[in-house]
Amino acid sequence: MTQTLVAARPTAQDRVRTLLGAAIPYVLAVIGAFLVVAVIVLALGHNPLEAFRAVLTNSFRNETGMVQTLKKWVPLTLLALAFAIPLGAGRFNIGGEGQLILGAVGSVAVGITFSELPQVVLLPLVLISGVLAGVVWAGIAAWLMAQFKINEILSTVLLNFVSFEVLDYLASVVWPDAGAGGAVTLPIGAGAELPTIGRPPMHVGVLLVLLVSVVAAVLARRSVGGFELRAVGLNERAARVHGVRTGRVAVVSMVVGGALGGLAGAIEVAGVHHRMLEGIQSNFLLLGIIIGLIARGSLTAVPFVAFGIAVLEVGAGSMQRVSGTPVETVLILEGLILLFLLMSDYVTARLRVRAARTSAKAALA
Amino acid sequence: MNPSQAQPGTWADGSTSAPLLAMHGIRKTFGPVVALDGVDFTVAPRQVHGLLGGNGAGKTTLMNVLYGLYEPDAGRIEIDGRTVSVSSPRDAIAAGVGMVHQTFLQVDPFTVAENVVLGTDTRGTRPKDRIAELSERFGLAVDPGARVETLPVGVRQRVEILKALYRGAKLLVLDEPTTNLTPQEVDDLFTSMRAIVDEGMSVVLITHKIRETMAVCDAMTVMRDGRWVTTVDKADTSADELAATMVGDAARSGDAVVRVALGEEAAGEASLEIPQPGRGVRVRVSGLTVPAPSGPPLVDGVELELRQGEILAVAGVAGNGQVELAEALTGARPAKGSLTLDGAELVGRRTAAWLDAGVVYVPEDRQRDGILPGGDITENLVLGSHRSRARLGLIDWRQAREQAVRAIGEYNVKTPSAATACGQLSGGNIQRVILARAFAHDPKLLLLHNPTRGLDIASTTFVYDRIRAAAARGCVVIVVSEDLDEVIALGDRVKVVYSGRLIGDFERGYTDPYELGRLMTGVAA
Repeated sequence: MTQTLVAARPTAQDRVRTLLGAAIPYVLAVIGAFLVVAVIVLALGHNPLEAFRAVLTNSFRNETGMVQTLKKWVPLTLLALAFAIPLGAGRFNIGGEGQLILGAVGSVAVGITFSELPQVVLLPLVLISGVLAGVVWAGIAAWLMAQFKINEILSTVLLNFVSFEVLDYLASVVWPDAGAGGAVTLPIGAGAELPTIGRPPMHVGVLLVLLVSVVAAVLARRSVGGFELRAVGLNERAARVHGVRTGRVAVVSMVVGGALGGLAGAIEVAGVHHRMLEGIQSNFLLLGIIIGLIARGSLTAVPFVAFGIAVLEVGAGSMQRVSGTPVETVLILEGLILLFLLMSDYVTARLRVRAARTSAKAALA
Repeated sequence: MNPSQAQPGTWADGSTSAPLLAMHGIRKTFGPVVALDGVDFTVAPRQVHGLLGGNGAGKTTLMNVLYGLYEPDAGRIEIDGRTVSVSSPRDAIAAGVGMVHQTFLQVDPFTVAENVVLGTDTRGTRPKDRIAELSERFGLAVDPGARVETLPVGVRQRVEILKALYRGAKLLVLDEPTTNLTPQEVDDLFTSMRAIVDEGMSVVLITHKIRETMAVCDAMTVMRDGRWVTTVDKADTSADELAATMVGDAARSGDAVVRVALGEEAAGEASLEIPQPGRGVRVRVSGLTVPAPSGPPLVDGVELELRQGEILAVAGVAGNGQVELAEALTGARPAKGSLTLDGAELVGRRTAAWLDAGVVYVPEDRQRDGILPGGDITENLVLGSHRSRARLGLIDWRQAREQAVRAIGEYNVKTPSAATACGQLSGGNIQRVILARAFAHDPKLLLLHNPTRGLDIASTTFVYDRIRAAAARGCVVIVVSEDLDEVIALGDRVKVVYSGRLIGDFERGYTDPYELGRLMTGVAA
């Protein structure tokens, strides 16, 4: 019997077309966001072209800008992954900053207590304890979710508040740095610091996160766990009927998210600050969520989107210096990109329906 | 009497009857899909008119246009010779059209009477008397004071019919009304339909079962692929001819089992030559129970012994624990008791272990339980075997895609590519993907729940052929179905599920539909 076989995948040409089609909303969203922000900048009495040039070129003008951008890229990528991985299973981890803070706590605890140990022993311990602390912190929310069906959005958000108090207590009571002005801990031992490369120095955490991103993207696409994660996110009931332990997948996804949040905290301590201080979490949680959503949960897209956001974040300061536009304008820009992206989804869906209708009418005529 | 002709005295000219309903050139498209392509449909007064066709033929769409639920792209509707414009069900009711859908729109905590009068003006009327009178006249036995949530499906359907009659319908449209009715209830319904026609109204019976139209209709119109095919008087046609018209050029299975299952003929007329199942018992179920959070168990002490190659068909009215039974028998839901397959105990083990042992479940709700709608066909075919096919925790997607392409060919899935999202396929093609996945597991115990619901004739026949091929290879098959024709045709043994218990036991050839009907409603339990 001869059978006409269908294609396993669309042709290369079709895939390029699909990709271009998918890119249109992004392009429109970015353009739209920049236009609105231009109006705001004008209204504030500054020159938008000057402001945008400062924002967009700062990272690429010299090596300092690029190193700054990559340092920013590290926590942004990790927190975006910490949000996107549970999102794959339909769970919302809004606890990235709590997990980052606990990661930092784990790292400084080891980094201060065993400050005399040599780097080859201490540095791995610092990173691992940071990751484990993040795991424990997210694990609490995951356990409450699995055992008592407590909504993970609530528990992760509330655990963030708890983490602020933990940080405050450690930095002002347990290991306070008497010489510092605010809530700052003592520095970690020299052996706990991440080595640097290049000039200006860039900590090797950047390379570590690059590796983590690649592994995460490959596992999401190829591994059994990645497939089960996707299956649970697509249809939890069908996944369960076909032998996927959906509750366990959800818990593991939260815990992996916590591990990545913890790693972010550990790298901030070991690579950037060499101590823990109030505000170490910056606004990475919010930006991580924005990145995860702009990437539409794709772990492959997350590092690229995170890089774009890092460019904007690093450029913000330069923009304020050059054109006087306040740094917060960049956050408006980032929020608007996401907003316009969501809106353009709706618009493209409408356009598609209209196109189908027109072609049906044309067929009638 | 030729029923398509007018009754003497009803019409002025007497010889050529003006039709009660005439639909001309109705066209309806949904995006690029042409659902109705210039359909003409005429119903004479005092006629039960069968609207016959497979799933997807456009029967319900046509009647939804008549009832004002869809606005046609083109075409004209005449009632009693006058062109009417119907843009909402309200217009349709005013024009004398009543329609009973497959899913009832009823307010559960309200009484029968309240549901019937809901939305009408009751001032100066005595609704209860009127309802009692209608129910008496048409043999639609209901208690006007009963709350509808307490009533079985058959009675709730009568409430829907009463609603239409109460609003003065002279043309009553019933959409697949026999689904979920016992044979006794079907008989009662057909009697009421005849009574309605005797009072001067007309009834349109939407169905895919030829046997039903031959039993109750005066004339029938066959539709196929959104087109009108033919309109014939019952006296001038036969079941065979209708079947050929309905299927069209598509290859017809000459097989008696398939004809019975499709409702083309009754089991008594067909001679079913079936290979006997083997002797060895493969599946033993004892005391299988699914406790409910409160109240009686959802599945209650099921006992079964199934031999190699045996097909067990389980009949029942929906909502008697079918889903729970199916899930408990396939390990998709925790249960107590025992189920052994080839001697190995499976109860208490994880769902994945059941799958590995060769227990495969084809769920009733394909979209909800069967597929990952956003996943492509390849991913859907991998689901369930993703662990056993992985090496070092990684899935070989290239190999999976190649297998998907072969399965698509073998199972005739109509799709542009293996990378198409499963949720974009039609119901029949989704079921083909699910079956392709099920048989790729090389099942030893295969359970299918309502496997042909909503499928067109070609897909339905395909499913029956696959089921019987699996049994011929020695697989134990359990078919849980609300379609009695299907149950009787496929089952080597037939049992009934009622309130979570399995009752009755009929060998092939000794199945009496009425006896099944009594068990299904708990009368003989």
